[in-house]
Amino acid sequence: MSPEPLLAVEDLVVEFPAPDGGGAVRVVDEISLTLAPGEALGVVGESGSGKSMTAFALMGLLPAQSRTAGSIRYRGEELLADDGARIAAIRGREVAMVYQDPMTSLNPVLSVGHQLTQVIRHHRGLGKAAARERAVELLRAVGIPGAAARLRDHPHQFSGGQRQRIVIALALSCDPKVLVADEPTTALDVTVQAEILALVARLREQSRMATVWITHDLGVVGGFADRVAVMYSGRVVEQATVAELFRAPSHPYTIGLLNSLPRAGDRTRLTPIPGSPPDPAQRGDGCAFAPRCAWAVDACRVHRPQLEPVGGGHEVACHRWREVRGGIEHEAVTHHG
Amino acid sequence: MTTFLVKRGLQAIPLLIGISLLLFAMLQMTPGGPLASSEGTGAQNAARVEQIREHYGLDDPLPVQYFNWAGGVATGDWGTSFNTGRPVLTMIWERLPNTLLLTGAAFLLAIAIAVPIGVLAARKQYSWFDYVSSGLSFVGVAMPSFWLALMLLFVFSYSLGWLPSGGLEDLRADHEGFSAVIDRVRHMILPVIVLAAVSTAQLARYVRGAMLDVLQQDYVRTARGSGLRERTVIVGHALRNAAIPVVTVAVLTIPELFLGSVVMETIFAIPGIGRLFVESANLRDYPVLLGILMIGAALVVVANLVADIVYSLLDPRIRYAS
Repeated sequence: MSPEPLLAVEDLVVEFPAPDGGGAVRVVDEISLTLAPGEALGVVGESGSGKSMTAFALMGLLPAQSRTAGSIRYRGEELLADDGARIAAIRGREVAMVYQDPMTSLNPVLSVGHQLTQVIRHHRGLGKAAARERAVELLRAVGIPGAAARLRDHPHQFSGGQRQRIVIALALSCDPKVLVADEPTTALDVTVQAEILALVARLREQSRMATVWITHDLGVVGGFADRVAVMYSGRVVEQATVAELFRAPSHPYTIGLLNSLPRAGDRTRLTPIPGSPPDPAQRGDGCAFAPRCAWAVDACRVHRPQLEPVGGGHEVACHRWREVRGGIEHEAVTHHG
Repeated sequence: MTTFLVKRGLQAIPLLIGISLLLFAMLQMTPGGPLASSEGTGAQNAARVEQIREHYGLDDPLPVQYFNWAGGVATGDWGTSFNTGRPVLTMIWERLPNTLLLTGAAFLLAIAIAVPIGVLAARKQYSWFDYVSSGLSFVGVAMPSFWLALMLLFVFSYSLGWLPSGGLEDLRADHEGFSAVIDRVRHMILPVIVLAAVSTAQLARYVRGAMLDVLQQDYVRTARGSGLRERTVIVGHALRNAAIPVVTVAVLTIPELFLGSVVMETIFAIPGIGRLFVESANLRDYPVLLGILMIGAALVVVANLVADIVYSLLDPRIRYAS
């Protein structure tokens, strides 16, 4: 472990006021993550698991009515203090983000060149011509053909894949130390997905920036990340290096995710996870996954498991991870009452 | 773009012809007539009335009257006033600058107040500022402008004596140069406020709505996430987009203001188109009424065209195919 992580999230909580007015709904529930310089962290989970909200919390871009608690430290400096002013000061420059939907992430009435140079000039204090040059260089780096001629074009004149490349160029415009990517390929065709992944991997190689890659696709993470955090219902349920996670998945949910991953040449049926994730407003005291879990016992429904180290930097939040690892299926007969 | 403009201009012609037909027919249907007050006042008068009828062609069949009038409008002869016997166009030309000055000032004032209020209210949704400005907007939309005019007159003119109560210039003194400008401005303050009040309220609500819409868009989040200053995000990104729907409403308030001048000019005794309209309506001076109404109609058509053009300037996704 490096002495000082670049980014350290500790017990981060994000809550929204409940729609009925009473109490609050926790969409991110005490999660902790660390990111070393140059490291790629994959955050995996299904829709509603809180992964996007975690990303927005890192960027200070949560909706106004949300409340956050816990700590986010960037280079040892607390970002959640002083009402978001610290985050506002570093975002775009130190921490940048690539968003989920390239079709709506760029301003439709401003030219691509304007959007790029505006950010470059703001952060770097460059002149018009120099900023333009930098913008062309960026567009070229992300693979937009005829970059110089296209600065004047507006977003609607580009394809979805190209727009995502432009959003990536925008994020990279000031050489951030951390790139947060929130499912940047979900809205794109599979072939374009692969290109974007390869592009970010290459850029990461060149600049040694740390990356948080949020996705619902374990397959994407496998090829890209150093470490993976699996999120379920607002919490991190398992965290390990990619190799370790694929070798010895220890949370029933992770195993479920792996089992629903199609593999080339494998003709066996995919096994989906039964049921659907709980409404964050209706979560009980126990493990949020228990209602869908084949290993669940009474204790799971009463006590929420905490992340515990299981060796090799691997952490799991499951009362029964030993049995799960051993592959012992729980027989439904024994515990019920 | 030029093709588009020419096309739209040509399309306006049948529209205006239709409007002119409607206006002409509606005026004919109103009870009374230009000679109503002279009719039945005695035998010696009857011959005179008949003479006037003859002179202005009021005995001709209606279609003939319409074509005579419409043909005149097309060739620049808008007829003569029954009341003053002067050409209608001259009478309108004399009064138009006053009305344009007041409606123009009211339009600029409405935008200058409504846009910042709407933006700020959207930025701080559900804040006290939002509630107060929304409340005032409702009041502004609901309040009859003649009532507002009378209240303002009562307070600032009658009670406090700060501002003149009517007209466009001080008739008791000869102002020259700069002092004439000051005098004119002092006379314009109350009428312009009255005229702008409703439009300001409407526009502010519209700007607020458009901004609320835009502030939730992903690209605003992107701009914020790029670390741009909040001011740049609001003005350079959000307002730039919110302006697109607002422009339509804003441009269409111009004919509304023009119509509003009817009430305002009557109360403040301003010699403009609005008062000319009221005077002419009372006298059933058809040629003048028709002239003013046609200008109003043309203004609506032109305002729509202007809105379309501004639209395409603001939104690069809109390009008018020829």
